[in-house]
Amino acid sequence: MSNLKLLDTTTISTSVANVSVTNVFSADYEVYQIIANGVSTVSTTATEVYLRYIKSDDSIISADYDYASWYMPADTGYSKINSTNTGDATQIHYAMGNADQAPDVASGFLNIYNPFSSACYTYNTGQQSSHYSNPRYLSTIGVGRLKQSVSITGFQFLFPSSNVNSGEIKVYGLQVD
Amino acid sequence: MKLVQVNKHIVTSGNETQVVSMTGISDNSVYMLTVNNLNVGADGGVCDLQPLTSGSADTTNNIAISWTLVRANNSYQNFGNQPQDIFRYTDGMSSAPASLNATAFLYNWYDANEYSYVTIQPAYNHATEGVRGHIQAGVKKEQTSHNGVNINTNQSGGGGFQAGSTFVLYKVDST
Repeated sequence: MSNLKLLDTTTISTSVANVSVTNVFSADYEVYQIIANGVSTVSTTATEVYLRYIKSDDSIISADYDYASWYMPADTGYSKINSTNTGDATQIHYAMGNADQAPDVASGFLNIYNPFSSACYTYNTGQQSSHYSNPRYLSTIGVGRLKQSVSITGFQFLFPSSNVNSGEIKVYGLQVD
Repeated sequence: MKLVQVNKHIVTSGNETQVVSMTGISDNSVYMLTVNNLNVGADGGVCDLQPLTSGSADTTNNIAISWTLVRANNSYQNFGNQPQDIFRYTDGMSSAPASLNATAFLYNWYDANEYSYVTIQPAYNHATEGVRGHIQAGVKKEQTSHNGVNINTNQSGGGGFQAGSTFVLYKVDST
């Protein structure tokens, strides 16, 4: 018996500008792992993948995020992707890398801490592996946070520059006995 | 990946502490240590990780580390050091609702024939820099069998780690 429990599998199979996974965080777990595999765009226009959280009433939180990631391409120097540089607190940037049309896809994982508790902020860590067609291999690694003491039950990945139409998202909970 | 819990410690009200010790490393498997919602009674102070040898903190000054510190509202910093006697989670502990959260993988900690290695991905609060993380790897350059971990904070406000601070040690089971 494993303490790593599969809670949800979401398969992207139609063209969407975002994908929401709801009612997946609960009082049963405090630490979660999200694994996304093979996120591919509809067209050859690549897109960053943003992250936002969802409350139990299905409202999407669009404020009070801060984050810091390394954008590490294979072909040129690294860049900081953080709150100061983007000036955007409405979502977490590069949360699941940068997707493009298959075979140029985005994959990776996020660890999510304390989302359901309304007594503390929600934090994330993670690492992603992407390829997009300029051509560029991209590794991203970083941290993020929602600076609100609210209970979160789900999350949304957003694809701001191009719809995606394939990929799989799995959510696991780390059980504490 | 199959995870099997081998130890946990959840701080309760009235039992605040500056040191949490967890044994349970008992074979050559990889182990995973998660900490979440680690908060202290006053802002400031550090949080460190040390191996246990036969249940006692191994303070021998033979750890080498390197990290990149990423920060929401400041430049990033690359850092390496040896020798030292700790692996550092953070140099910025906070009171609730902020907290320290991290996952660490422990490699060869039980095996007395090899050095003990660690990778750590933390996320935590800083008063002026927003969310931060010391994305880190390191090695304990000692051929010793380690049977657990110590997690320490030097923040004494409120007695150290506050109620709700959660530490869980898992074995990554290959069977």
